[in-house]
Amino acid sequence: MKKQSAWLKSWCLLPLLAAVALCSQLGGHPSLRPPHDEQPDLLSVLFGESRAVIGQRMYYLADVYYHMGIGYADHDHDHHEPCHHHHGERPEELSLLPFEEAEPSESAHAQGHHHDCEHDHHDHDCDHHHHGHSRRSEHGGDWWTRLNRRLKPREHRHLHGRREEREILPWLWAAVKVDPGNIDAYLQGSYVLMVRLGKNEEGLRMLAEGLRHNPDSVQLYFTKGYMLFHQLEDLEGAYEMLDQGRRVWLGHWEEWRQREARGQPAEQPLGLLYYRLLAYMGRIAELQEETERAIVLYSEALPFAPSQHVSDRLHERIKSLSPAP
Amino acid sequence: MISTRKVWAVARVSLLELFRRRDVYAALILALVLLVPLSMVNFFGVEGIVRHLREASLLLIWIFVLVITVTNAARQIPGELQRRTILPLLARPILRSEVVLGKFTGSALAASAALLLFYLCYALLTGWRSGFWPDLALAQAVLMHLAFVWLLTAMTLAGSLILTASANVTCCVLIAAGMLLFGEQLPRIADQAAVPAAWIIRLVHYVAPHFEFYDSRVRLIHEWGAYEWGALVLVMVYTLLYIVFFLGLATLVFNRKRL
Repeated sequence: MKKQSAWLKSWCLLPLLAAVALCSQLGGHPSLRPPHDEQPDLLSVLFGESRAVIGQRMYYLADVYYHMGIGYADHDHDHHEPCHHHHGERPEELSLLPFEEAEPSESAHAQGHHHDCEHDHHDHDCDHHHHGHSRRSEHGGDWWTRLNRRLKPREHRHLHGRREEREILPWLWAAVKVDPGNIDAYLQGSYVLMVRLGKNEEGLRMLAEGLRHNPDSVQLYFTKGYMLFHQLEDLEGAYEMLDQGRRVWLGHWEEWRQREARGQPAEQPLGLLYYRLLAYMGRIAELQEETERAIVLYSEALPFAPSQHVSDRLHERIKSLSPAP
Repeated sequence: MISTRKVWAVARVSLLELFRRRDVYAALILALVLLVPLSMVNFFGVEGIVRHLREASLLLIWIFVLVITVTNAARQIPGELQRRTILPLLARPILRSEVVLGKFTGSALAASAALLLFYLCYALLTGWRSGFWPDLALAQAVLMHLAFVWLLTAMTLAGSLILTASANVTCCVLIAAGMLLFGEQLPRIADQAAVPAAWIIRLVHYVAPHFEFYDSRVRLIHEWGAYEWGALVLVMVYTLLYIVFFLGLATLVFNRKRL
């Protein structure tokens, strides 16, 4: 009986050893390797293509945190739109005429204050507006609905100051970890870190990580250039970054234009993004006292100016920089 | 006439049972295993970020308390019936209503004790990370959560006398979780639904207990401050009415049950 049991054990072990040996041999076989050399990371294996959706959800949660836990669909108002613009320095919200801004150091300071003031003003308006709504809607609906309204906060409020604004960072961190292609999260995170919390090093690191994962994102090049210009007053670094963005734009614009023609919108209006790159490069050239280069850049930006007013102002600037005949 | 001494005697057994089964300790250890590493994560070198930690902690507390409350209340009377220990219990001079009340008090107290233990850990963990110690808002949130536990216990106990054990647990968890997630939106969902579905949803809205009333997470996490006392009192009265209804139903069914 004992002999039979030992015999059985050895016969069970034998196929196991054979399987291990086969596995070690096959592991390096070229036909079994994935088609690309890069090994997929754990999150890719776990979530696959749904990463983008999860990343977007994390980004939305950052917005919910910015609104003190209230999603835009739950506010007591009719327009169900996210309001990221309050806490993010998106390229479309920056000045279209950088040469009319103050010097970088003053501008950064003023911008912070301006933003705060805008916040306070806006919040005041929002609170005022939505308090009104809340009071009105408290009287609508049945008893259960009215009680829910008394129990659940639903006013439109924002986080204030450094202590509170840092609270959105975990979601932005998670958004870029889950989906490194979430450009909005990089833009938002770098803005909070650099402009709101003064953590320039961390903000630049986040933008660099974003560029490593998204080397074709002109928005990221532009934002990094803008931050270097405004936050660090690093004119050379900023110019270099904006110039890289311009090269990427020139290398891709035909492809993007065709994509746009097929109804797939670009991450930014293509012309506007290019205009901004050139306008800021021109401004930096001006500050570096390279007037000729500034004129060339402004002239190049002119056809892409988003409005007649901007175009006129740019014309005037070029004229004022040009040497008198 | 109901004797409090007899009710307490039955309740004591139920109370001890939960702590003998060690469910609470397992849940507590699991929560700490998840939350302590989360509290150590450093986001971009910025210190003092705490709201995500509050969110995760409160979510775990809600899930664990929901599970503990339902599973504990659901096996009180069916367990006695299955083990046949109900017969010697009822052979004593005790009313069936006293048994129901005793079972309810015991399991509600046990779940409440677990809840208080979880909130103590929550207050210590988030207080340590943020320097923000318990205030009136937290006290009110705990009170609301206690009311939730007592109402859920009453509902599960009544369900345990009508449905089978597994069906009761499933239904109670679904009702509680469903109301927590969608309770507030039921009128809006009913407005958008077609006619028969809209009637059903509206009926659920009017009849089912609104467990979402008790959810204070947003208020606590984002520091919205305390509830207005009037609303809090209304919720307590609402809870009491439902508890009386469910316990009345449970007593009615238990009195008619042939053992």
